[in-house]
Amino acid sequence: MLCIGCGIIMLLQFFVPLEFVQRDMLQWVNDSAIVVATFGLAIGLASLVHVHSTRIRRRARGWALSVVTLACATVVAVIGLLKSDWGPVVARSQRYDVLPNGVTAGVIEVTHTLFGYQTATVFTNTVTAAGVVPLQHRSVPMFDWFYNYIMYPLMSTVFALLAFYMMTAAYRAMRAKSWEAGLLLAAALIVLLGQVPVDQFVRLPAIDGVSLFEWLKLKILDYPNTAAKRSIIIGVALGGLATSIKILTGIEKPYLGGRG
Amino acid sequence: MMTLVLRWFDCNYRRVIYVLVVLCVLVPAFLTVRLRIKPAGATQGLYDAVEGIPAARRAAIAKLEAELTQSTNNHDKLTAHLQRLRMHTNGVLLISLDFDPSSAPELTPQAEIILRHAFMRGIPVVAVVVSTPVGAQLAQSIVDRAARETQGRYDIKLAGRDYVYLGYRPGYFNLILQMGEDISRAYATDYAGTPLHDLPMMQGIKNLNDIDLVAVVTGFVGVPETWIQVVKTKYNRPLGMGMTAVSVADYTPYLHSKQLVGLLPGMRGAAEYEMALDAPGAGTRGMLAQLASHVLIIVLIALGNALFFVQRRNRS
Repeated sequence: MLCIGCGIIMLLQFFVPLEFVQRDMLQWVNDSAIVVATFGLAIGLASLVHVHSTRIRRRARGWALSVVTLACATVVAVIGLLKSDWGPVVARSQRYDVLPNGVTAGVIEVTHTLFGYQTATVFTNTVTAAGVVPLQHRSVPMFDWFYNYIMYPLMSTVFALLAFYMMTAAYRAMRAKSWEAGLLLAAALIVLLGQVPVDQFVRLPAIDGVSLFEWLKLKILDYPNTAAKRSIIIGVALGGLATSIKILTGIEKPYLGGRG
Repeated sequence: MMTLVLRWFDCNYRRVIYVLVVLCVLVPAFLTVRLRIKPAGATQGLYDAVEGIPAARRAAIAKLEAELTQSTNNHDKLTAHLQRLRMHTNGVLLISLDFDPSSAPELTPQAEIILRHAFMRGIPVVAVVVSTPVGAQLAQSIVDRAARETQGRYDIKLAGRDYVYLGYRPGYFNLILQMGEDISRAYATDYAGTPLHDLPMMQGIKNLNDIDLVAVVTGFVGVPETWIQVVKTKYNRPLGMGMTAVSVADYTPYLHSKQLVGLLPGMRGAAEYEMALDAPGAGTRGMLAQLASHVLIIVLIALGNALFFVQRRNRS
């Protein structure tokens, strides 16, 4: 009933332009979603602790990684809950920005913590109706430190590794074993060349004011690609519609872990 | 001889390729070759849309004034809307920075140049993150950098007056829907914790009807559809996008159906936009590395195929 009710409320948003539906009902759904998400977070955390503590207790293969996972989760959660002005601050510096007309635009305070200095602790003046509110403290320095110096480089590094795999895959896998594969390969080469300004170094004919490969790339994107994508989008939309109707009418209940 | 070289390469290709990839990315970083990149139609579309925000606002004000003189229905509502529109005569840009550090190298130049363009034209900016909490701090640093590092092209922009960064709130689809009705209900405060009704800029912005252009820079699949469903389908506001080059093929149909005013394809899109604005930046700098990497891929594909055909001939 809850699922059907929420589904119908969301459906009404697109078809019933009443203020009660558009504002109050949507507000209720949003508030509820935040409450549910909070409980979901708690359940996720409990599940994480349960799964990894079990692995550690049983000394399952790779249990040391579970120790790292739990330690990281604990450290980041604790730091995230600390007060915003907490942190081993070793120095603060101030700089005044002056506009070309001589007016002081804002004060920047840079906090230097024991672990370094981070741009996220640059506080600018915020202009409010009551005037300029100086130095808005808005984030936890150590949390920013973890984000800027651990999470950001880790995520970037993992994604950057893809470049190496793609290069080796291009060498090993992209082979013209049949004429269909050759066609695919030719399209890939055209798009690759069309994506970069290769005409800066090699003289190429221009069509419609763009270089040959770029023109070909645009044609591939505009015609065969668009035709294929449209059919996929329409197919997926019809499938999604059918599934949504089944869920709304209670025929299918995947959220309960099964069918019917 | 050639066969021997190819066989040697086939045995040691991993090490060689890894070194070449590193060189292709590192060496161009030290070169100062200025590439000339002509903006494609999709990029020009988004550029023109940002450039046209003040004109769009003036047209919206004139249309509403004409509506008010002709119609007696909803007089109070229309007057309030007109008052809000008149508070920002240069229009308002809403930008959503829906990406995380993994796609930041490709998307940060796009986000920065769109923000700089708006700041150069004196257009107030509302920045949000709707799809990932991981991107909130990254987005904050991008918006702050564009506001403060003016490159001598505009005055320093102040939070609350010239731009507002709202940060991340859970809700995703519902959140965007709620922004369509009332932004202050979706976001009670900005990222710094200041209530929205205390920010002068937000006095003239209530919902998506007060926004002249929505620009979404995203590296996630599914996010563009959500924005299209709400911003375009439900509220019929102009919508432009910037995305990773690999996603562009998926969203080109939305460009042709005019659901998007423009589409920036990866770093190339950022470089094209920078050229259109005559403000070379990270996108233009990155194109040389991208060019070298693409040429390397093509060479590797050619090598792989050459070896494949040599082996097939030997076998037969």
